Amino acid sequence: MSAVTEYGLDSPAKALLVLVLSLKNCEPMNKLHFQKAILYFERMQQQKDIVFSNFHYGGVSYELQEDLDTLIEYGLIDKVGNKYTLTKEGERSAEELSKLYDCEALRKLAFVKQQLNDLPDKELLYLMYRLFPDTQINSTEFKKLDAEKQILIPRLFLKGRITAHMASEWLGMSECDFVESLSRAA
Amino acid sequence: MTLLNRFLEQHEQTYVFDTSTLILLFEKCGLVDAFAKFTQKNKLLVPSRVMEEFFAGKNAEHHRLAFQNCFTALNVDLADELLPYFNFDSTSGEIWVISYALKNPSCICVIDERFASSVCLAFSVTTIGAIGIIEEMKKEGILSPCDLQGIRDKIRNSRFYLSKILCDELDRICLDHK
Repeated sequence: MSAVTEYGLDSPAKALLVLVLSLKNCEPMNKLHFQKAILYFERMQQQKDIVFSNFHYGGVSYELQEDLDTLIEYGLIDKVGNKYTLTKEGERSAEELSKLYDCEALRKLAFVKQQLNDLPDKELLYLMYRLFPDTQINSTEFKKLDAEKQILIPRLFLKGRITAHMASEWLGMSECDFVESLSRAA
Repeated sequence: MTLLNRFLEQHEQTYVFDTSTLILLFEKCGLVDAFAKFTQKNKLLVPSRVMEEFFAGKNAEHHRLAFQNCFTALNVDLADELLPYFNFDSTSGEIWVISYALKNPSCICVIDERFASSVCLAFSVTTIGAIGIIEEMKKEGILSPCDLQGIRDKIRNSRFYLSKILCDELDRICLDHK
């Protein structure tokens, strides 16, 4: 029996969990980061295969959390500290699964993991709130983080997570002034 | 074969420039003569959107004639597959630069921004930064040691942000005359 059938990986949430963990040399991810990575991916794909609701920390999916627990029970995912990683069986399943996904989707998933996985929580949350403003509804964090935007936005720009165009727009200044402000800060 | 294709074939390398690299090299460093020589061997392209951004700058207008002698303006078709990476916004110049490069894989994107470079990496598009262009000009013998020293000082003293790595790279290129 194929891993896809055996473990129910035909469900988008389960499949994306396994796939996102397999990318970037199977780099482990924590709960917040894979939630946000899959949300970002869904927005890039303009699809709503997974239900996200807007809670205190922005867009979050209970379905993903439940499927994560299921995949741990199946032995596809391991938890080490606060990070999740694929087991050997998980890696084998990811390989099978990746053949079913088109390369454009896999490219986007790899990109979001690359863009998000090394960000500290504050920068991650702020980036997501700004990229997808609808997720600010019900947030307990956005206002606090927005008060730190003068620090967070230049950091996100310097790390290559946003364009100068976005950064300047979010800060309400011209692109030229923004770039010059970086030079002064440096 | 179109006239543009025939023209491109006669040149060593095709570069397509983003706005910030043009501001740094053309405006801040004043490499007008160097670009006039560089364009004799290489094809230097600028998407219309980048052109608009560049000439929207405070000091760009009086460079227009020299600019037009060095760079060829392009009407680029947007590569729709790039839109999700730019949050479905096509206003920034980089998306147009990468769009051109996607359809013309032999050309090199001249981009300094890390975000756009990450997108290029995702699509296996070749990139170089403004400092890389200075190095190419040095290799082609367009810039003398004295020119390079002057460029280094201008960049170091300008209000243009360069990371520590790029500053070191600039020093290596401009101060090493072996």
